[in-house]
Amino acid sequence: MRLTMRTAETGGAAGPAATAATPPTAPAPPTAATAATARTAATARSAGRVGQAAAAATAAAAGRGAPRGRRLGESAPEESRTALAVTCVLTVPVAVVLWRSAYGALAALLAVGPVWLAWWSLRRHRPEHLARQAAVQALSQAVQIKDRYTRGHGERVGLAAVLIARELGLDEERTETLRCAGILHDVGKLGVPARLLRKAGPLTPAERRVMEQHPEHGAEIVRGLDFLGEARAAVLHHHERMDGTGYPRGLAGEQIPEAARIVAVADAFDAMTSTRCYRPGRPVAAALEELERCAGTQFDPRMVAALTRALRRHGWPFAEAPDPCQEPPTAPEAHREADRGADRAAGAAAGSGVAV
Amino acid sequence: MTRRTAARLVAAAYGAAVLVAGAALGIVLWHGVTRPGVALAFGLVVAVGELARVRLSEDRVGVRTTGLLSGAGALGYALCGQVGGTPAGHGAAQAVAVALVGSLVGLTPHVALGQAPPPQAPARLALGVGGAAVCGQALYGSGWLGRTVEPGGLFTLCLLALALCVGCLDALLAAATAALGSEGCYGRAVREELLARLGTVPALAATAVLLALAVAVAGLWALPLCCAPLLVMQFALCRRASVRATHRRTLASLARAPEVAGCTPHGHARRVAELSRAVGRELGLAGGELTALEYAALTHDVGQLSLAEPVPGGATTALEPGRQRRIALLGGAVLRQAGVRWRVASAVEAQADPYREQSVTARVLRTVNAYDDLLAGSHTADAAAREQALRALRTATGRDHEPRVVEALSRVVARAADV
Repeated sequence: MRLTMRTAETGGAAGPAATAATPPTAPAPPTAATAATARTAATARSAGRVGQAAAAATAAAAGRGAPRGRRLGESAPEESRTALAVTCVLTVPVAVVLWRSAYGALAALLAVGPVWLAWWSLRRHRPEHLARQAAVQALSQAVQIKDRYTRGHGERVGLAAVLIARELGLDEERTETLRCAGILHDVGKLGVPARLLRKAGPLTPAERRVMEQHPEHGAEIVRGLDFLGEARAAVLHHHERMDGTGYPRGLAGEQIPEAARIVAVADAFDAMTSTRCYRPGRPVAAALEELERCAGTQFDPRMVAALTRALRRHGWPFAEAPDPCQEPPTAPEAHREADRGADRAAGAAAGSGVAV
Repeated sequence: MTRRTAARLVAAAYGAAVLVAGAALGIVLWHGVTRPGVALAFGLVVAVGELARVRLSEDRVGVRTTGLLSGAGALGYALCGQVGGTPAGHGAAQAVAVALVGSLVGLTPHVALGQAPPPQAPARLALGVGGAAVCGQALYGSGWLGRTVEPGGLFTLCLLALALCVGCLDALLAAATAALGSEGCYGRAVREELLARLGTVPALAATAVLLALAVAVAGLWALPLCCAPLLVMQFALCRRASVRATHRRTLASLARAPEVAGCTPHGHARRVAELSRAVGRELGLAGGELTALEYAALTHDVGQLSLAEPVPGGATTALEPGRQRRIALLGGAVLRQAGVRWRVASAVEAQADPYREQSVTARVLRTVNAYDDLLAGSHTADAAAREQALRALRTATGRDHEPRVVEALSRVVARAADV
């Protein structure tokens, strides 16, 4: 079974994420492990060595039991190799003892049992966070094939949400959840007709009502994804306002989930600073001023202040965002554009599949 | 063998298991426990193994759990005749009782959380341990044969063969039980279930014998050393199961998206997935191929999200072939982001191709999808509409639909109509 891992993370820029395929590194087959067991058995004949091996094994097992944080750098084969090594180390003393007993070498060979089980259960393992990342990216790409103007918007909102979360001192896991919330906040736009999304002028009241259903569509789409946690609430409530005049539920103040208040600020900030067909993007300072002005009525002042502090410290990497719409496409051209997108996306995706 | 006979045999086996368990507990209560320390150690292993039981939520079989450590621990105790060079002295009854009590103690938290595995698992454990212990203790000379076997290679082989037999019979009983709940040919269902379970039997048997012999030679300290790797494995399996669950939910989300977007009628993806699975089984697909087919069918319309205006009824067959293909390609690209298997993404990408260029997965997907679109287009689902849809598919068997698949579909549809 080929095990190809997607190791690259989205850079935040437009277009499908760059992917890198690592060569398939299968865990050592049981035969090799058995040979190692036998070799060690031959060299470690003294009881003292057996004791040492047992101590090392216990230490290794304790190390594995340590709480696991989100380590984005770790890859599945590496983790599997560690687990396999622990298995081998633990079985060696038992094999040595059996080898020296009346039962002989055949009994020592039985140590293959645990090692084989180890190999069997680890051979197709991949970390949970990669599966989650794949889920978020697939949904984000689903939005992008519908509406090319949202390309990059999700990633930028995700980054702004992460900046706010870090400034508020939220822990790593919630920060990661907020990144997902930012990337997916507009996933409900899948349920809005493309002509409304692409309309350059102001919307009529009827069209506005259709547009305002997108948070609920989004919540419906991400309903089953438990791992998103509070990000699901952020998808549903990111258009609520502090004074209670927002949609879809008209929540006010502290009733609005914290994640939704963060995403609301990040979303408004990116909407103002990025260039649309019908208007140029505003400078960062002007956007922050506007957020400041609406703090309290529309936005949570705490989040606005956090974003201001974070941007003062780190700057905003997308200040010079490229103009996404040189020529506003008519409907047939939009088809052609989608078709071109298909070829590009299919080409980029070829060979970047993750085997499950 | 008919399903009815099989059901009777399975019920008889579980009845025997209950009798064995009751008798074992009674004997132990009457005679008391020999070497309680050893019994406690092995009971603890079984309990920890059950506590760390892995829930493998398989795609259709429902929730399946597997307790490698508890099985190996219980079987090891049954085959154990000596502890650190001195006779262990426990009989078959005590082996069953320890396995049963350990298992029940370990399962209590699962029951409290409402995630209890079916009661068949402890029953099978009692049956297997009972059989293994009767034969194993006989080998050690405390039982019927009346003579002692010298420890050595031959003895190890005997124990291993015994453990393998017990493991295989246990897997067969488990497969026969699980297959009772499936539809279609019973023999084939048993074969599938058995193949899914047999993989771990040799390793489980080897581990059990290793436990028995290591404890016989070195005493109880060998127990944690042999068990720790199994525990590590169980946690690895646990995490793999959760990754698979995340993957399935991702696909379910992607399948909902075109319906939320109004591209396809409500329930279309689910219907196509179920019918595709039935047709795939009719064509002899199994296991991973069926799962791939189901995933592809569930998500085949994702590419339609790229359409500026949804096609009426989600039936892309009205579009020109080039655009159909591009929509399929876009859907495939999204699925590849979701990390689906190669077979799933390529089937979705090839769903608009002529059948001679398609994999069997894509052929089934294309035909079933067209059938559901035709039925939805006629707004009725009566026999006449079904017949008309099938006739329309048969006229397109020159290029679009493979005749074999259309015939399989018509058989499946006819059978469903009869029920």
